[in-house]
Amino acid sequence: MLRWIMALVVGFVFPVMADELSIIDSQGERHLVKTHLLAQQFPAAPVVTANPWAPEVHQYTGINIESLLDHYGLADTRVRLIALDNYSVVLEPGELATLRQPILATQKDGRPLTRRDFGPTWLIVDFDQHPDLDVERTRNLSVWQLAEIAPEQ
Amino acid sequence: MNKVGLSIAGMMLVLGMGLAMWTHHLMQERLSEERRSMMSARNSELYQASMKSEVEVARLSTHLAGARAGDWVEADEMALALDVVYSRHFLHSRGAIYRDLQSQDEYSTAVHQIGRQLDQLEASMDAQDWDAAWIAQGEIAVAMNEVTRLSLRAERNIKEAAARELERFRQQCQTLNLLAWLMMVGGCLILGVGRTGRVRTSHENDYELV
Repeated sequence: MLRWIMALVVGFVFPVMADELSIIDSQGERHLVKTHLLAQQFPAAPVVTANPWAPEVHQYTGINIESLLDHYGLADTRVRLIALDNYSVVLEPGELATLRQPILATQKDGRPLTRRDFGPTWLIVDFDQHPDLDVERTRNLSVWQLAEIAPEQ
Repeated sequence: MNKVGLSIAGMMLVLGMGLAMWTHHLMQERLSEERRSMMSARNSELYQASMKSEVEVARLSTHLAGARAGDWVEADEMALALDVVYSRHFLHSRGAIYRDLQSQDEYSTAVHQIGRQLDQLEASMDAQDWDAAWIAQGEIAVAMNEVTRLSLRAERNIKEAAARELERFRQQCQTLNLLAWLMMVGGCLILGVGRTGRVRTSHENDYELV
């Protein structure tokens, strides 16, 4: 019974705070990294935009995904982005450039993105600045609740 | 052929060609707009997103069923499932893709009910009152199903409106094309008739045709 209660308490409290991103590098090694540390290591310019899922304009800050992929040797490979709800999409090499500096947002208006608010990381594209990007492919790539980045075999 | 006839024919030819080019431009513009907005993709987004939400409610239900039966409690997974369902609820209640639906009473009632039941569900889970949690998830599942039904209806309406609009555009282009052809053919006919008349006159008066 005590184990049950502990499991419940840990289960309900910890995941809300969980802000880890799982990255499998080009060598096949898995890295579990806190997203706020990644944001410090690979800072991205803030993006102020609305998008099809959150219609109000917000300022998103977070991780420079190009630098991140480069760091883990995934810049020139096909990469699968996997979300907490099992949604996944494959990012083709060079496709990031077509999204014109997207970021992996970890904060919205200065506050950490929670899972309920499409966090802990969300691939954000500047739809306001580049309305031509509002196409099916970009929408598919705008993964929210991103949990894992892995090279696609 | 006098100058007036010649200028009318010339004008008809020029207008016909201009009209044909303009129609072509309209069609090209429409094509690129279709590419840009991806209407078909946007149309199918409502229903797909709702279906995904139902899947996530089902996932949460599975965890609750286990907890209620006293077999197992995977708290991490259950909390994750709850958060995901919450995020789906926010998508339905705030997402821009649902903006047209949000103004409808039926839809906003269903979404509001989901929000209320979610809060109740979370409270029940915190209190480990699995029976109450089970009832709440049942209510959520029913309301989410209603959201899916309304999304499907809205999607069908959008598709029908798009098909009607496309048909109107097709007919408009057809009319413009026909008009362009008529003007060009008419212009050519006037030129041809004028030329023939000139030959006949020249023949009768025994003049050399210049």
